[in-house]
Amino acid sequence: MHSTPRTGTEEPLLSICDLRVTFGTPEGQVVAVDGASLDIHPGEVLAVVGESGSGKSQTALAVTGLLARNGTSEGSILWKGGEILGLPEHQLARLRSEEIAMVFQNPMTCLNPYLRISTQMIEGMTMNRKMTRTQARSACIDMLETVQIADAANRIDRYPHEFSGGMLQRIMIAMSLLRRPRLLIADEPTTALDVTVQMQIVQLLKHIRRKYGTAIMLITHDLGLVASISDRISIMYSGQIMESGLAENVFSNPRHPYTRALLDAIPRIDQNDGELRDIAGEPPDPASRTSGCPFHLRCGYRIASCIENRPDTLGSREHAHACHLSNET
Amino acid sequence: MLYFILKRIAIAIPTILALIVLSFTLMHYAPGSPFTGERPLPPEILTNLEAKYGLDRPFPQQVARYVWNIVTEFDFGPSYSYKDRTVNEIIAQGFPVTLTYGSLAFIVSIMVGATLGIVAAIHRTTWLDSLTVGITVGAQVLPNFIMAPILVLVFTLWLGWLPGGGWQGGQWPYLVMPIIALSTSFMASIARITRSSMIETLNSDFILTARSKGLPFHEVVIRHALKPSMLPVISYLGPTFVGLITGSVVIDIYFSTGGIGQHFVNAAINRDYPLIMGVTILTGILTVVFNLIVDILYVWIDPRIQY
Repeated sequence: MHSTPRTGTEEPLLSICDLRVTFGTPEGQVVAVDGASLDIHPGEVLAVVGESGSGKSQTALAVTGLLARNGTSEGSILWKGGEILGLPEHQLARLRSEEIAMVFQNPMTCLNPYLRISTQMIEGMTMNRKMTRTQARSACIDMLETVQIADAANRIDRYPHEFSGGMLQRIMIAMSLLRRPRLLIADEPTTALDVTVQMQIVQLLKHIRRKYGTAIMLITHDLGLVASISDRISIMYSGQIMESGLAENVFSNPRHPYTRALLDAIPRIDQNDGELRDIAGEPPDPASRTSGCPFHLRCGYRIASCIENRPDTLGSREHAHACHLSNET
Repeated sequence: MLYFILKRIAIAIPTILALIVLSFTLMHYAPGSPFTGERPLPPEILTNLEAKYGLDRPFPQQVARYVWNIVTEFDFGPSYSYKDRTVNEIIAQGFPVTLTYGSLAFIVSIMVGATLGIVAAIHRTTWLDSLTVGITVGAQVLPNFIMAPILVLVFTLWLGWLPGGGWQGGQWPYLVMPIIALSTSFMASIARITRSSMIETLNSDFILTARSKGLPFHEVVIRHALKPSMLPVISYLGPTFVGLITGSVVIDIYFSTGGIGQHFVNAAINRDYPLIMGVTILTGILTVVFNLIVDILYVWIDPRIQY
């Protein structure tokens, strides 16, 4: 249905503008997201790529109002044009139940080990929709079959520990799709899984986007995973968006030194010199943000203004980046 | 499941037998005798008494006879200090009393303790949490032999609301103070265990999943967090129940309730061997039974446990 990316004039489904997420800790303020902006159009797949601690997960949690108790978010998050940042909990709960679904990193711990799969799948449906248990149950079995769980009618009454990690992640995805969300936020959905299973999950996500037209926000640190599925990519570093744009633009013509370093770090089977390239240095500590561009400490192209000023984001929806160097040239 | 229960009962039998032999031996070799009073008895009377109760026979024979009587007739023998009564009669009279206020104190401890713990965990880092933690710390360090006289002072002597002691067939005014005095510290322990395990559970990934489904928070707590956070509490219930029964020593003395608690101490002071054995075995059986119940509850709650 939505095989081509929609970059037209229609209103974005989700539009995050200048989001800032901070956590109050005994050691002081920790800035997890530092002025990030992104948007997702209906049916689009946006990959948010970054290292651990870059703030990608916290961005997702801020959208659904699920930040930890000591977290606060500022800025603007528009859902279908309406502000959802700071909505009361019951309205956010309705949003989570009807419009924005989430799938998390570790399927082994994300399902309640004390409850049957059927109980966990059905509860979200009978509560918010006028649906009987029998109807909900058969809808759940159908959805499990969609995500290729064989013998779903019997297996639905099993407990989570009776499934493998890959199957549990498919169950998680099935569970999130039951409510036909407009947006599915998948937070590192393949990180905890075997490499062979990772590809199956990506195929499944593709299939879902085709079948239901669900927009997907795919959070990952794995650029390779992203290549085959995403329409657009946002590269995140230290709570900020470094570069964003159409997937083919970012991959074929990376403008930010950080993006280039990330792409260089992907092991290539055809250029086997036996070495794994990494990015020298450590990601900055979120508790003590530096001035200027957050990447300047590790950047090989650093110029004076990188240390002093934070670069503006320049470009269009097709391709934008925040770097002094390429802004000047 | 039935096989699991039968297996556990089969293991319990040698445990209790070992308990009997061990306590019997310890008592036998402890200094003193049931018949050493302030005035020494004439030797011929002492010999007669020892012959009557079988204390003149070799030790292994005494043990064997004792166990045999229990197994075949469920007879725990005569009491030495209450001359005209058997141990069975004493236990039959006192145990229902202890069981009544003990069970009620047990239920109160769990209900109040778990509720306080859950409320504190949900409102963590607010004044409500601090208040609950403060109360439970206070209640936990307050032993029941302090609690009992304070209650009597306030409710009987000052306010005149409740009778200071007695049993009267277990009418509720006579039950209130024993239950409060007995349950306070267990209630506090349960509240603290519940609070910490509830906090831990609420930080689990599956709670985030449940919330991401849009369930209201109270549903998340009831449906997803309650079961796992009660597991540590359940493992504490076995020792709690036994502790309530043995804790009745103080209650029986302060409130003259007439349970078996008083016999724990009196029987030991009087060297009333059969009565000591009776209450010890009773406590032992209760421990075994409650640990079995706890294990069954565990299997029932956590589907990952194999039996």
